[in-house]
Amino acid sequence: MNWNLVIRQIRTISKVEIARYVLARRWLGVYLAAFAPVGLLALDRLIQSRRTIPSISDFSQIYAVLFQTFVLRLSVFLSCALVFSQLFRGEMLEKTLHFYLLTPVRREVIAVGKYLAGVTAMALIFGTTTLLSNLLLYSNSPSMSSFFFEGPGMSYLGAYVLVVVLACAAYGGIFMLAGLLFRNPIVAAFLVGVWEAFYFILPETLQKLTVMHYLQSLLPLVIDRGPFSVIIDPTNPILSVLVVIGIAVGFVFLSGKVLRRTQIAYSAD
Amino acid sequence: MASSEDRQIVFDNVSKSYGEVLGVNHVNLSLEPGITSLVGPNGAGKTTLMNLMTGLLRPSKGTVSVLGVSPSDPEVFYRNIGYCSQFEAFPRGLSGYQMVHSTLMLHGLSPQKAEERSWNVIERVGMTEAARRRVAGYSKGMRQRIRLALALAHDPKVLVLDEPLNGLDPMARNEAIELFRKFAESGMHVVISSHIMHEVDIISDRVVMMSGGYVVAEGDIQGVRHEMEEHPIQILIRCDRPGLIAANVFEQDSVVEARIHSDGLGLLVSTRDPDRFYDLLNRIILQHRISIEAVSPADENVHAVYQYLVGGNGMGTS
Repeated sequence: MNWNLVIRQIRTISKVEIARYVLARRWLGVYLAAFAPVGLLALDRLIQSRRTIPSISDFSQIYAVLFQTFVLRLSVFLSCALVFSQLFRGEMLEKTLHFYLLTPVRREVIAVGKYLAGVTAMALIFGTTTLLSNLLLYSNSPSMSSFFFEGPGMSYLGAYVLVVVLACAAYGGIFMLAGLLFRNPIVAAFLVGVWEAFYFILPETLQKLTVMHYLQSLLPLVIDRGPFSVIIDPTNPILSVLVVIGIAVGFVFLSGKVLRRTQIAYSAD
Repeated sequence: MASSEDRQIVFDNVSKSYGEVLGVNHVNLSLEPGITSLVGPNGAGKTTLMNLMTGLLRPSKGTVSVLGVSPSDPEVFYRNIGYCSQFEAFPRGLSGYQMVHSTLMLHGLSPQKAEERSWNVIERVGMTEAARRRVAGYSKGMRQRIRLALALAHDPKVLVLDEPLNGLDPMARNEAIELFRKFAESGMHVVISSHIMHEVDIISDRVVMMSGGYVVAEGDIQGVRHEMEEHPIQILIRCDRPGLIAANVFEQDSVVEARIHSDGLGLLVSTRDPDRFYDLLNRIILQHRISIEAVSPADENVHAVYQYLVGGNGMGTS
């Protein structure tokens, strides 16, 4: 295989895809979901209604709840479902997939190119908003600088950004395959959503079959999930990263294989 | 040494169905370089055949190969093929130039080379001025030109064109036909579907006639016509004394009909043996010193042949 050519093809596909995203209507929802926490925190910062300023550990707990409930489970998950399930399904509905399929490019390479474009865009958006929302929240605290430069602030922030990027990678792979396999990927997204959202009530073995368990293992703080949660030991961070990357690679590989068998019969889609 | 299959488009007992709907059935074809036209009404299976030929569809049965390469090997297969499909849509947000340039990049050209060749092919289809505009704002004719540019950009050996003249103005049509002829003369395969019969007549080296998913006839149009023994060949003769010719042609058993035109200056003869008839006609002309304006076959064209083969006149654009 000519790897130089493959890399150039992946870069070309990613570039074309990103150029197309700029105008895609579905990205409006992604921007809204991604920037919602930033907007709320910015508003809160402007109003400054608190009489007493919480401690830095309270801020950390507030951010942990905001990130793990809203950002990770809702915002990132739904945005990935929206964007990645449409990478191929959207092209089938718009009747444009044949442009790629008529080029001398391995189908797996097309899948990788489109996937990387999606992950790059999503990671950039959610990485940025995670960074901004984190800084905005801690900016309410007078001990912000010591927390970031002398305390654990920087490593917390690094962990949140890493988790958001890994979440985009793993869910991106899963939903890209769902979009190729199902005419209506919403049902698949709903099932995956329920599985991932309530992973903490599953027994240990099943928890380890969720992406969320490995993402959660990388987070600096644990939040209380109520009386039904089954608490298990987090997986080693390096192993967690490898597992999430492995899940992403596996699903992209499967997508390439499915794409190999995909035919252009738009009227049937 | 290259086998004959390495220069042919081969359908080996190919069938394609969409669930219970038949696309094409038991198609056996070996197409040589030159211009081949696919002819048939809506639903005849022309587009299905083209999509099979270009690997966008997989046969339910049988195999397809183009220049000895199977569509399951896309890296090689699509270097040989350019397909100007009938699909109207284009990816959003891209200009005509971006479409052509990125396609050439995917073919492995360097950015500079891709840029140079993109502008060449865009100029060739007359789209230079509009190339930087988004395709979404193009007219139907402009979209057709960009589709043509995309099909031609990488210098394919096989050009598959689904209704390529749709949306083009008469001048652009003539230019396109001229271009297809040049490609065919250079040894390329040009496979065209068109419902405009006189264009098919003008440009085709051979035709593949389709009806209801079946290939009903194939070959050069005269050859197909001559094989249809149940339909006598019609020959039109314009002359000063058609009655005299009519009185003499029935000495041949193969002549089944002679009809004199109402203007008294023409005659339509139906014969089952045109070669013998032309000999007889020469004799009659010389013997009676008849002044001849024109002699031409009246039904050796795609439309007439298709009518004879399939009946009805539902020629469309499937």
